[in-house]
Amino acid sequence: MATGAPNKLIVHDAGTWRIVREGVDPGAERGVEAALAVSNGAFGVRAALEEGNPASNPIMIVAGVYVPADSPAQQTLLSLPDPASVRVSIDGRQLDLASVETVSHVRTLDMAGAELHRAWTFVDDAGRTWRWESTRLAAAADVDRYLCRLALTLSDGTAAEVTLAPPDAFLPRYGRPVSGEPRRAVTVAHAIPAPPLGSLEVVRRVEAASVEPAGAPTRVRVEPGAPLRMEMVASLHREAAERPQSERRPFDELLRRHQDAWRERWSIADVTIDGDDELQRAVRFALYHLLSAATEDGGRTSISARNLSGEAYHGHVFWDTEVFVLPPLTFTRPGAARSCLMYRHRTLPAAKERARALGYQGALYAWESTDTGEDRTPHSVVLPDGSALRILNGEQEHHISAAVPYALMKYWRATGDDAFMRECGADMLLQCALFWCGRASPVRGGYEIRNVIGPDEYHTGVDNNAYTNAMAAWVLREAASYLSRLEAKEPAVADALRVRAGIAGGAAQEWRRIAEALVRSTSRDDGIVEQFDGFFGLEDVDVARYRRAGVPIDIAMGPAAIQRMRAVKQADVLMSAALLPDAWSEAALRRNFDYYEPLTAHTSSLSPPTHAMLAAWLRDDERCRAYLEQTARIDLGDGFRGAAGGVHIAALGGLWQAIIFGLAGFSFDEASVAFDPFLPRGIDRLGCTLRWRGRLLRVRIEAGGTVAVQVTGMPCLVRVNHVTRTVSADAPAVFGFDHAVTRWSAVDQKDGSGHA
Amino acid sequence: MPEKKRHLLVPLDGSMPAEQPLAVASALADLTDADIHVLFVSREPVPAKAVAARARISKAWLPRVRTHHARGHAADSIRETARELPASAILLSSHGATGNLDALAGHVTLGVLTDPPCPVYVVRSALSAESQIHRLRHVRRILVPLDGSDEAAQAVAEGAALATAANARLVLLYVLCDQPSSAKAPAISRYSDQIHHEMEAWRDEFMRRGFARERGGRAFSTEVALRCGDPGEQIVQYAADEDCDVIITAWGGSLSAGRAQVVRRLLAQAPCPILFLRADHQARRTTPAHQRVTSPHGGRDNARR
Repeated sequence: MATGAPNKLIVHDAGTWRIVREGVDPGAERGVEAALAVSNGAFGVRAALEEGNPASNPIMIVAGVYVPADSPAQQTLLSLPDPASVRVSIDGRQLDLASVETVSHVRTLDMAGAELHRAWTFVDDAGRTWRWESTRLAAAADVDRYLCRLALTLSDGTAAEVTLAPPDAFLPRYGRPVSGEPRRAVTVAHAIPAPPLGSLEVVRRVEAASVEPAGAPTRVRVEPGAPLRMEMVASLHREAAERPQSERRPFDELLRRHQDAWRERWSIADVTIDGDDELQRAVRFALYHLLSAATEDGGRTSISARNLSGEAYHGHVFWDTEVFVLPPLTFTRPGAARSCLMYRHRTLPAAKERARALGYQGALYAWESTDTGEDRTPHSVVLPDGSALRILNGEQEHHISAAVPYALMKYWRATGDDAFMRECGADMLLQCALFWCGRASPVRGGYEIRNVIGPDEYHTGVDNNAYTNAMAAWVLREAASYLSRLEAKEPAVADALRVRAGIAGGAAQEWRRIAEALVRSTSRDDGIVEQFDGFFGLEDVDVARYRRAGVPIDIAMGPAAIQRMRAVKQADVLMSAALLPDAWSEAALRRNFDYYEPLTAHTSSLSPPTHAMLAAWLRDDERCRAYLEQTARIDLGDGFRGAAGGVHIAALGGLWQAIIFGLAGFSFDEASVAFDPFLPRGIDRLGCTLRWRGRLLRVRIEAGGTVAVQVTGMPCLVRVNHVTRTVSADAPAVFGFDHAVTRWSAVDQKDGSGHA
Repeated sequence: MPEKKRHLLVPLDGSMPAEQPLAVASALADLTDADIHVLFVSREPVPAKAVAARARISKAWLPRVRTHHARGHAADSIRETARELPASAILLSSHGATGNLDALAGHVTLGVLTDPPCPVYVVRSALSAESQIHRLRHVRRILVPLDGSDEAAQAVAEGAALATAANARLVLLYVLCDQPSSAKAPAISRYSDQIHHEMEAWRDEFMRRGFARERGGRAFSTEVALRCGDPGEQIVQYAADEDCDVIITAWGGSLSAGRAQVVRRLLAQAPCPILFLRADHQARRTTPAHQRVTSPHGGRDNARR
């Protein structure tokens, strides 16, 4: 920092509820701004310095509002200037880090209250010491509101003339002295048009020893001991929307409602880890961003790849939302998960049209979706070495139409939300089944799926990708099962659904037949599943060397070379095991994990958490801890630099899954929940709170071998290893467990049956 | 505010006629709007009137240059004179006329480079003076290799100033090395979830990181480039392939064994003039040589722009 301020790398507070950053490093600033961003799902604001800095990107990103992009991405989320930005001058000299001598500078993300605090002490040219303290938040209970409170205190010396002005883009609305307090406090308002959304209005109340009435900029006299105080309320106004009830709520009430909302959120979502503060902090960081990523807006928006914390990926929505983000929300904020699923229902017509345009039936969701659900994946891109790369994901990466049903069925089974399933979910499920039914081609008495890209995107245009085929078969079976049950229980409803979906009678049987006949990828004698036809014959490459160097192997080698190599971008065969573990035996998973893990470059941020979860299932202590650590550092490591374009929200969801599905060994169906825990060395205790079918489960797992379960709501059938008991609200239960007992061995021994 | 003078220091040893070095200096001085100061260093005293002759400066050049003489160790004298002027930049040939061309560079050049008081332009002796003059008179592409560190990014300010002066294009090049990196701040994320988005985001971040200390708009065009392989080799290759006119790099000043591989490669193979800056490990703002000026009181003015 030019000012000579202390410039430590990331400093975490001893507490695990806060992320603390001291100093300002221009090279890492954009990552810091994303990691410490505040969001409420309707908008997100980066943690930029209010007074401005050349290294900053001070923006508010508005969810669900897309504007044309000056890039192959075609559309991008609307970005507005951060309303908390303020140009400040002291005695005529513009204030910024370079113009003063900084004594200390600390930004703190208080994850408990979802508030960003900043404390800056500096000495100006006249030798006076100042203290800048601000708090910012995206109101959780009033999602069109963004609040900032600022105090600028002069500790010593003579009084100063301070001016405050909003960014140039904001136009004055009005300015007048507050009644009864002439020239001690002034309220000024500015607004900026924000098409196609509406407008963003900013109201600031400024209080000090003396404040000149309306004017731009606002002129304030600051005396020692009489701080300048400013409260800002920014409001997003949608043109067609009714004015919300919160329109005239005072700052303190908005703040209290926000704090209440987050207290409630944490009370039903927190995960506690004793023995590993870094992991504890990381999972709270993950939950903080997950819980603030979505708003319940009836399906108007979903969660994009970098949520609302950065501009990378332009706010496009990918399969990661359904596979990595919605499962955590299902068990912590099911209303938000429902809303995101409604987004997929709202965009179902576009998915059907996309399938039709490509010559398929049913629904093929966009690989990159924005507001309408049309595919926004670019067709080509020029790489920094000047070469053109054809982007085939939009044309070939069809497993998105399995990801949506996956999240849907998980949500439905976990919540029992039959109304949603009937009104929205069934249509999505059946249309995706129709797609896979048509996408599978008959061959030699079976079916195969050709010319696709699986999660391992190093390899394009492959046939019979193991993940895609497994997920397609699963969708077909799920849809067949749902339809059959509905036909048996409510034939009239089933008839109506079939008519609506354009499905002939007997479809369920056909789907089952195709699922059974769909080519299972080749397995070698040792049980290793071939990732796609011909994978075993690819060239060897030393993936480990690139992993050690921290270099993306695909960029280093180039797309043409990597296509020929037996290197895997992210879990692919293993991904199908992560999502459909009951289709695997423990022994088969172990063999395939040992084969594919060394081949995996992990150049997708989705890969480390998936491997952490699988390693936990396999009781592989060393690899489990290594992948947990790697996942925890995707955004928090390296001085936050990796988060520059926004946090990796799917990897954060993956961390939650690695801990809950992996370490806690949580699984469930419509009738019961189960825990087969495995706590790696160093973790003494794991606690979590989960919402399941109207109940709240509070779970506490001790490394010594006990699981305590407390249920709020209706009694609940709980299995831990081999023991199943009904747990009711008035009788918390304590189970014993053995780390060595896995989800497979527990069921095998309980049922006396094995799995394929 | 009146324009302040810049001084380009050109050490000559008299081993060859000064025509070509001064022609290169003239091109550089025109580019950076600087006066030319010739420094002749010798062990014995030289009368002031004889300095030009000993430095083998022809009469035609005398109106354009100011001559200086110093006694003693050449590199020390060059540094000292540069501090006294103060010079905005020093121009050196990689080797003297009697130097061993197989060596990385002459001992004087290396001596100055390891502790330079200001930016140092080095023109490789193996390249024709005509081609270097042409490049400096027609600067179109300025190459700044970056490794993601704040130290390397300090070269960006110099490149920006030169690009503005020459109305040239500034290219920020990152070489992705597949060896374990010692860089504290890797310039490319190990994760590329979707390569087309990731490359766009990387370009944006790389550019922002490079210009993180620069205020205001840029009056020149910029470009980000990525290459994979050995950094020194790739920088030289890129400069040749893309016809770059100047390479600007910040470095730590140590040529001890195993260090400064990029600097070694540039001194050995760069196809164009190289501007070396001493990286400031305190990461303080550096004032570009192009804008570093002499104050009216004779002291150095390093005030922030």
